[in-house]
Amino acid sequence: MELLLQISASLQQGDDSKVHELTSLALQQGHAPEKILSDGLIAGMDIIGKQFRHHEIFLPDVLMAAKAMNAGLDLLKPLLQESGQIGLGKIVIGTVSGDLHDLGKNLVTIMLKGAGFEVIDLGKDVKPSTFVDTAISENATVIGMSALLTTTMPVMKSVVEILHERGLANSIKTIIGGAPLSDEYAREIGADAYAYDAANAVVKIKELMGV
Amino acid sequence: MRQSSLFNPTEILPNEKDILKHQGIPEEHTPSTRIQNILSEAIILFIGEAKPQWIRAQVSRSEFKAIYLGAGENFIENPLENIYSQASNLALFALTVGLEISNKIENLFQQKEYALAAMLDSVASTAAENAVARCEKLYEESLQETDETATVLAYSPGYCGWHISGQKNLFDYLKPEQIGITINNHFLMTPLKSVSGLLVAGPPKIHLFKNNFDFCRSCTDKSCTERMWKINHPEEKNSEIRRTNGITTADFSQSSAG
Repeated sequence: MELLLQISASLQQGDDSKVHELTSLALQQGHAPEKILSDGLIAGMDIIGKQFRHHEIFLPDVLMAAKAMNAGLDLLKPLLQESGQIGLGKIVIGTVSGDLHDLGKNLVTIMLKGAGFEVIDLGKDVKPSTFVDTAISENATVIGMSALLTTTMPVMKSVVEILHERGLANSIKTIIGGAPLSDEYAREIGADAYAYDAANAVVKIKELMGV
Repeated sequence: MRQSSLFNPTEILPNEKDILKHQGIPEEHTPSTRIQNILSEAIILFIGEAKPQWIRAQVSRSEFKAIYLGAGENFIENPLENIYSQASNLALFALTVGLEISNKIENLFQQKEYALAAMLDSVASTAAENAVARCEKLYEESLQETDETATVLAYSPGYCGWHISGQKNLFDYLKPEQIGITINNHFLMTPLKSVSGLLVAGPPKIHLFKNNFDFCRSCTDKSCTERMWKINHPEEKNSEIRRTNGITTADFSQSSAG
């Protein structure tokens, strides 16, 4: 089997040491880091994402594949940064201020990285201005916000308002997610998208970025 | 009367089926050996790391009425007012599986052990639900000398029309800080794997209501259906009453963005 296909297959099996070994071999054989990323790692994660959306595999399978993805990415990242190829786009993500639930946000981060995005994870309890300031300083085009509590949902609206106040609402898109949220709430606060789970977040962010 | 105590982690350990369900794995699906291994590892970690504790304080109906009114944000139409006003006994409660578990989950994520971290999160969340069921049982047993027919069920702020802001009054009365549970300005409890609420004891029928309130439409929990089914089928009484009517953590089956 061709080496990049083997990387993809090993990633799908969640075999992180094999992915590390094969990625290293691919670099030694002169494969371009961008090619290893797109045709090996991201190709594998794409299949994983589709299988997950179709309920053919489950969360632990996805997370094992994500760990394998990281094993390969660790080798590629310094090389990609050197060449300025940092992926599909940059996203700032965090759990909004007052909320400490970060499991869902972590899953979205893992899935986005697996899909080839660069993710700046601000963690939890993130103030509205921090989302916006970081997106500006990091030149990110999407802000992802997570909340599990109804009492912290209004923080998301503040972020959208700051973007509007600063005239950035067209250049920095917003996506929200979390158990109490909905498409309707996203529309109500002027967010650009709502994602119902981590896999859906990847789809929606690709739509927002047009990639 | 105020009481607090520890649980042994094994006392609230969820069964594997419930943990896998929390991971979004359907009952009819046989998990792979790798998933099974991760599950076993998460259970061992839970038993080693969890420090479950609970606290309970008896309240009168009039005392609870003041607590329940909170900041006046409860839904006008709700089932709990009718339920607690018929209760024979009421007690506020709070429980936690401990801060250590949350820290462990966070550390595992940082170490990129994602699958194990998420599995441990599911073990802890389902264990918190089991701890609520255990608290219900303990309260029921404590009342048996005086109220042997009482059925105890728990109700939590943030559910069934009881506004989440009710946490403030509940905490002021119960003082669960004593067992390490605090709330922030958004009424979020720390440690995250904690549940608080009201234990309502009384004849089984008081817990029955028609779940067609306004807030029922947006409820993602729906555990009331199962709870009421159990009451209507007392032959099932000895089986574990699964409930998720507590403030725990993200539910993968509902959303992974929590």
